Amino acid sequence: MKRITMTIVLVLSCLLASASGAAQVGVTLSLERSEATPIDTIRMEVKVSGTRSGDTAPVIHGLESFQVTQGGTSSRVEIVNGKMSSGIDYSYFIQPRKTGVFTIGPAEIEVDGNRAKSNTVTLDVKEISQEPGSNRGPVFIEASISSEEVYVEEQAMYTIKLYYRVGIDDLSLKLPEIDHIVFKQLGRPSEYQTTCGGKAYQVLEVRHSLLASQAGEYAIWSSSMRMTVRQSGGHSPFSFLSGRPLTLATDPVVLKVRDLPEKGKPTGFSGLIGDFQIESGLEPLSLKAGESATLTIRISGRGNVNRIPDIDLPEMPFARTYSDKPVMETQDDSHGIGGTKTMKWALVPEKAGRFDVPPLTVSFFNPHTGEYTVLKTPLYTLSVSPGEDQAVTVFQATPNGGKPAEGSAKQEVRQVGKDILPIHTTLTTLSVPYRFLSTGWFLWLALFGPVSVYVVLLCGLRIYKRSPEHLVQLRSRQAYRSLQKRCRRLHTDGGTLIDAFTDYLNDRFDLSIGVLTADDTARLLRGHGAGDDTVETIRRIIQTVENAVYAGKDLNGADAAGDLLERVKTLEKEIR
Amino acid sequence: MSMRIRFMTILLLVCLSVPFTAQAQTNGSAEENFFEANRAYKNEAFQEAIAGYSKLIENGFENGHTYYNLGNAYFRLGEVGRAILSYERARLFIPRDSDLNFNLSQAKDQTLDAVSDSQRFSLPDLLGLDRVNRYEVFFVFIIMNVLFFGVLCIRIFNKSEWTYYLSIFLAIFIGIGACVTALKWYESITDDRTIVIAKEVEVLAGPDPGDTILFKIHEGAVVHHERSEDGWTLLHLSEDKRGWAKSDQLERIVQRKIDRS
Repeated sequence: MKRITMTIVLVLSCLLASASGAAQVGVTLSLERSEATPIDTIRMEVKVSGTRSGDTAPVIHGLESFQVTQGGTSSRVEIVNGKMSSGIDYSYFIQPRKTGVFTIGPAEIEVDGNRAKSNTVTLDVKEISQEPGSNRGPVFIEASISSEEVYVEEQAMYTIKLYYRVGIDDLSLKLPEIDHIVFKQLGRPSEYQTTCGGKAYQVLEVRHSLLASQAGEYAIWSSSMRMTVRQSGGHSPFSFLSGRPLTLATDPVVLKVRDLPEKGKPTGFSGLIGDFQIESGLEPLSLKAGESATLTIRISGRGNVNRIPDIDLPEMPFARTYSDKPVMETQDDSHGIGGTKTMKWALVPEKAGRFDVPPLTVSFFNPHTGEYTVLKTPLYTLSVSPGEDQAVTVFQATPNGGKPAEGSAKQEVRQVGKDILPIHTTLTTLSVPYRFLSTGWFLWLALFGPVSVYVVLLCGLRIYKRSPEHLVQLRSRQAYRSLQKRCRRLHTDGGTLIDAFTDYLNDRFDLSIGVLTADDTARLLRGHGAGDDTVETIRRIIQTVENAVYAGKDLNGADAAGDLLERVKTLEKEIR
Repeated sequence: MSMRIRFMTILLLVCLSVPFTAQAQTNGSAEENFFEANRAYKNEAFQEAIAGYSKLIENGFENGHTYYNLGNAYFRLGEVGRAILSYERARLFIPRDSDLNFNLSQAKDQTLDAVSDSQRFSLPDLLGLDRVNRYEVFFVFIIMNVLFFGVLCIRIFNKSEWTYYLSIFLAIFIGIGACVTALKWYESITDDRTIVIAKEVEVLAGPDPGDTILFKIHEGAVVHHERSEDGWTLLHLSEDKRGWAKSDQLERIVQRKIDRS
């Protein structure tokens, strides 16, 4: 009981500790879609994490051109990988009042006197299209591409929208397979409502990032969506369970892919295309010789992030450098694929002085400007004072800020040579233990020997049990036990004693005697090899019992039974 | 009754002691060959050492340590492929030997091809059976077998409670032991790993020198053997990397007499 209580207390304290650890407030603003028309209602969510109660409702900027309706509030508590997080979600429905591209946000909220700000989101409000949906049925599909002309490896958005006014399920999407074109689905499909041709439709929107690896003109053939349309208005009570299959295909789309311009291409260009930023830092800038400073470079942006190169640190004669493994984080949203690559180095200066860490560069091609851009880190100057101990201490660069671990600094054991270990020379090594078990006759003996011994023993016992000698022995034992049982039940009844003894003789010698006299008994026992004394004694006992039964003489039945049993025991030994 | 039990116990002990007495038996001339080969290795006469160890293996002294020493001799001669082959053969006998595993990783470091060994992930590996050799597994199974039937024999004469529970306990263990032994046996008979022993091997689309070269693999790479025909071997590295190579440029870790074409 005490142990259970301790465990509960421990678990609760762990949960409370993790809850208090997760107390940092974060605000995220999101829209269910990035494109709309003035007649659409778009769901907007403000997720506040790290608290379950805000001092006030969030203030959201950039909503001047929208009609805003409250959609409710919900709080949540999540435990993921042992970490507890809590939050509060605010929902709104917004309807644009005019067309244009609007930036919504940031959302601001005050929690415990601290203000937290969210990100911003963009909504493109377009004119209502007259053509689509005017004469379309209850289900139709559309595909569009964000840009019809792109550079090699530039991201384009390929969006498929399924409009439906009836119940559908079992949806599956098949994208066209085109050489040198790669599709990647961006996030989960979004669902919302819209109006087409004056009719309200539910829309399922699937967005893909499209990347062409070679220049040329590509026809992106139809994508097809297969589904089951639920029947309505059937006569059967189970008609809602049935449906008809339906496959819809999009119209083809043409994509022109251009090569990157050669003009202005930096040397060592990695093929990075998109929009990227660079951040860097060197900490600390002042240290003693033998101590470690961490240089961090973070390149982030949107585009073909897998092309972000691993930067090579130039030779630094004043310090030893240890590079950490680059960390790549990618994420995708409705605007495409983005990511951040973080690279770290530990710089361990070996002498005192002021040393420059030269700028490091990364170049990318910006498809919006059509030009190459070179990102550059600033020049850092490291101020190194003489160390107390000139012996170099090596720290491993760590992902969390490059700070060395607390406690005494340990030197990493470095491999300085490579070779194999020597040969084995001991004599016992020449034999393979247990090998003889799995070869030749020993294998079969080891496998089947034990079972054979068991079977032989079992069969032998069975045969022995069926042999005449064993049967005689068994019969004699049973006959004696039966007589013993009956004699113990008797007390004075001589007639039953004679019957019991007659039955014993019948069972023992396999006979069928009806009436037994003392002389018959003596003859029979002598015939089976009983000793004279025993025969005479038994004859006398039977005679006494007969006299009691037939001549009415007195008889102590218990004594007679006891004597008889004792004599029969001797008899059994003699005739065995 | 007690006499019978005593007899059974003595019989069991005799059976158990047989492996240890057999282990102690070594051949005198084999010992001499072993010493000679070791001396040649220490004198850096590696070819001579290879000949000595190979002779031992041919004479039936095929064991993990001889293969290990043979692998070392090949390694010293710069024949990384044959060194890896010998080390892998040694692992069939002494899989837990730290020296062997160290040297094998050193030899594999010197190979050129990044060949994934994912196909070797199997149920026996998952159960940790790659840490024991098949003879050890079989020995344990035999012990279980002897004990189980020994207890059953005792039960013929003495149907007491302890023999009942002991026989149930051993029945469970012998069941597990049989499965493990079967797994290990299956693994050893289906081991198709083959080592590239030539410096560079061209893998062709068919068993003919005129066929298209599909890809090239280098000394020490571990590939998987499918079948052999007229001096050619069909191998694969992965699902999409298959082809034919000359059989004399490759050698299987577990040798099959039928494949020596």
